[in-house]
Amino acid sequence: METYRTEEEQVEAIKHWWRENGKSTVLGVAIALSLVFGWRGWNNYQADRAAEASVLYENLLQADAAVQSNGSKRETAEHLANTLKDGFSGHSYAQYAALIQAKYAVNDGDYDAAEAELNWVLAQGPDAAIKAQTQLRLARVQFAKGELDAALAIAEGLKDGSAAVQALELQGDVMRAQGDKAAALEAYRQADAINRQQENPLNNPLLKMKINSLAAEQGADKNTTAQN
Amino acid sequence: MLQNIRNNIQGTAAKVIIAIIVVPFAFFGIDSLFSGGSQTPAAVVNGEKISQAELQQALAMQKRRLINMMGDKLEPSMLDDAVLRKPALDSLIKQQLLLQAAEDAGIEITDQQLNITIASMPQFQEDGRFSQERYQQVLRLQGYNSALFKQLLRSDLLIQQLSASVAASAFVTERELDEAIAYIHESRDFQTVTVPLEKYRKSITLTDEELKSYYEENGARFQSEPKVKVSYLELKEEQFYEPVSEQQVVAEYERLIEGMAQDTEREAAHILLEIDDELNRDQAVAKLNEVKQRLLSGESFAELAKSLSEDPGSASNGGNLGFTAGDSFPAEFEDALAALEAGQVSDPVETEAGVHLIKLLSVKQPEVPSLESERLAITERLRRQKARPKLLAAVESLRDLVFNAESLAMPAAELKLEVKRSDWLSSEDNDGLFADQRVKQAAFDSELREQELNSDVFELSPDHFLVLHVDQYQAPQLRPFEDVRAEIEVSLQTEKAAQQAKADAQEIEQQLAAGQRAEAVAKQHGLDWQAMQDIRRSDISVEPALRRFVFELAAPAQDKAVAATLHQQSGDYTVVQLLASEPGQRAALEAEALLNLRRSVAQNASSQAFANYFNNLWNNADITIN
Repeated sequence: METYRTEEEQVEAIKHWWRENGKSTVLGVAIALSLVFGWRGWNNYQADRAAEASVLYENLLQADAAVQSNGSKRETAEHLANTLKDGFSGHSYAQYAALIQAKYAVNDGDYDAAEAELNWVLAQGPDAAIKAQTQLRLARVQFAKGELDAALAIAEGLKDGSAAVQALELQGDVMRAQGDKAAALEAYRQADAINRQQENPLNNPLLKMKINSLAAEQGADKNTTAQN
Repeated sequence: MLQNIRNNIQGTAAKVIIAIIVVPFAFFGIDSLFSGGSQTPAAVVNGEKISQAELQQALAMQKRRLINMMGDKLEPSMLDDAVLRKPALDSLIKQQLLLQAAEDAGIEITDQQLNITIASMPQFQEDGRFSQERYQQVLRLQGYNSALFKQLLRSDLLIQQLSASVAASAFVTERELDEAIAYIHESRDFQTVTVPLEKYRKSITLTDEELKSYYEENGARFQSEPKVKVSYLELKEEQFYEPVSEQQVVAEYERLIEGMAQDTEREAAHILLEIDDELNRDQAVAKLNEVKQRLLSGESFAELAKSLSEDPGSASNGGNLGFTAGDSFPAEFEDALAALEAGQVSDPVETEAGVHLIKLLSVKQPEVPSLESERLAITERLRRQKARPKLLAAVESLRDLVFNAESLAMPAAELKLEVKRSDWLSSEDNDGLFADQRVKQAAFDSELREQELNSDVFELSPDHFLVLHVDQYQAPQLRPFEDVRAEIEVSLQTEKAAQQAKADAQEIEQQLAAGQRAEAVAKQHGLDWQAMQDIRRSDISVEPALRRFVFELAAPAQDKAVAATLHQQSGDYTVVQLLASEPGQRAALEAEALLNLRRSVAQNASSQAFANYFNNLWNNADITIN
């Protein structure tokens, strides 16, 4: 660093530096500050929006509970779900709302509408876990519509991922419907095996019934004289 | 560094440095410079730490919950950190994982939502409305402060919203419902022929030769238990009891009642004048002296308190403050009160609250027991107090002595104890000396026995100690034939009966598989049979093991019965002829049954969806447990 002999020289040097760099310094500071405040403002805005969506979603869940228990408040629920989908797309809450809409469509037996809602969720680019669940539900709706091949294709794509247990069970259901009981049993057994390894295994008595029934039918595991 | 900065404050570089420090400091607080502790975290979940302090807090809360829940039934071992730590940490990790997912999903719970939730919780309500007082009270009882409680509640609500994403939206298609009905309401028709072991057992006769050869071939099963004779020394507290003198008893009694005197409670009343701008100290004292004169001339303390006292809490009650054990009021107040006789009024006394006139209304003396009634308890206590150190000293020397000695004779002589000898003790015994498992273990310890060592000194109870030496040992022996004859008979009968029953069951199974009617087959074998119609998986009229067995059989093809044999736990055989199997039909269900089934299948779908979602988070998480 340079050294200065007197106070005056120092002041002079600072003034000189300021004349040369003053503008860019002020500009730089201004940009930096506006970035900081802009970022914070944007964050606050986002937080406010999320808070708004959260309240709407909370209300939706309450209305949905009423729908589940006695069928009332369906209109309120639909209205709230649509508000979330229209006003907060891009936010997870909008996806959750569409998933609830899909449920209503399934309960009404309107599988096309359900497919549309589920596809809407997929189009929003949901996170991996929601995506897998949504795809699985799509496949189940297709299975219900009788589109066995389409359902099987989706299930096939899911069976190595996070929804593997349910995907394999669905695969078994579809294969059995197609008449391929050996492959169905294999899929069920894989589902059961993967489920056992999970941290939080699903309690699924129906899967066990399916396995027992198919296994007995195929004469596998047949033990005619003793039971353990 | 700071000294340097001050010295060169004029330098541009220093200004820049200060700017670098000051800006983040101003915007993000001091934490940004000194974040993170040095302690090893309990666990790290996807880079986020769970601190030891958090874990300790969770443990403390879990313990409090257990204590509240179990009350007196709680065993101390249930509060052991070693037992509680893992599940507590586990649930913290899972919670952390879900909170991270909630944050990633942009889930937010506002303070307002939090407050509304709290206000609607029934445990904080009084007469149907939220009560701040009750809220604070409940939190205190549970050991939370408000900030912590809100933080925990916020976490709960975040996780609730997150889990609702897949759980609340789960559905069941009609096809899936039909499928579930087909399985759950499947019904089966079947007939059974039961082959009871008991029936065969009765008809079996055994010869002496059979019994003997069984005895010889299965010698290992007819060994007697090992036995020992031991000698042992006991130390009991009562061996060290000494007479207690009358003097000692009286001294102890006096000490006791002296302690009780401190429990005296006094009922106080007062007239308070506060010292403020209107009334200084001297004026207040003067005024109270006046009041005291009025009291002496016969006016009522209660009436004057009512009209003059500036203590709104007590004035309307005649100045009555209730009872104090000497620690309810400021020291000046208590001292003045203690100096009064019942009914007397003090001179003005100054405390932080102002100036008081104090009246002692009454004195509650604790009931002092008589020496006679306490004599026995005091004597007993003194005796034990004196014996205890002697007992422990004796135990110490016994430990040293038996460790070095080859038998118990020398330690016994040294400590003037009597060596006691037991009769034969079997390893099956669990009373007397063997009521304590450690004693029994030592008695049959092969090392102690073979090297003729004394055992450890065992503390059977705080005032009872014991050491033993094995004198004689009887190894397991083959029990004489006559002693075990009855046992052998039962085993052999069971074995033979089982063979015959199994052979019959196999024959019956073949007959039933060939389509013969169960009734005819049962008659032929002299057995009972039963017909079951329309049995569901959940039908409790059929015992569970048989029901499960029947539903694990393959459904019969047209007109072709399936037969199989269930070997019951009792040893009996039940041969089943499965005649028909009918999948459940939606049309056959009553409306309510259908609704219930739809609900339970939907419930199942919902919990599966969440379990799946959670497993996905878990499988993809990076978790370190320290």
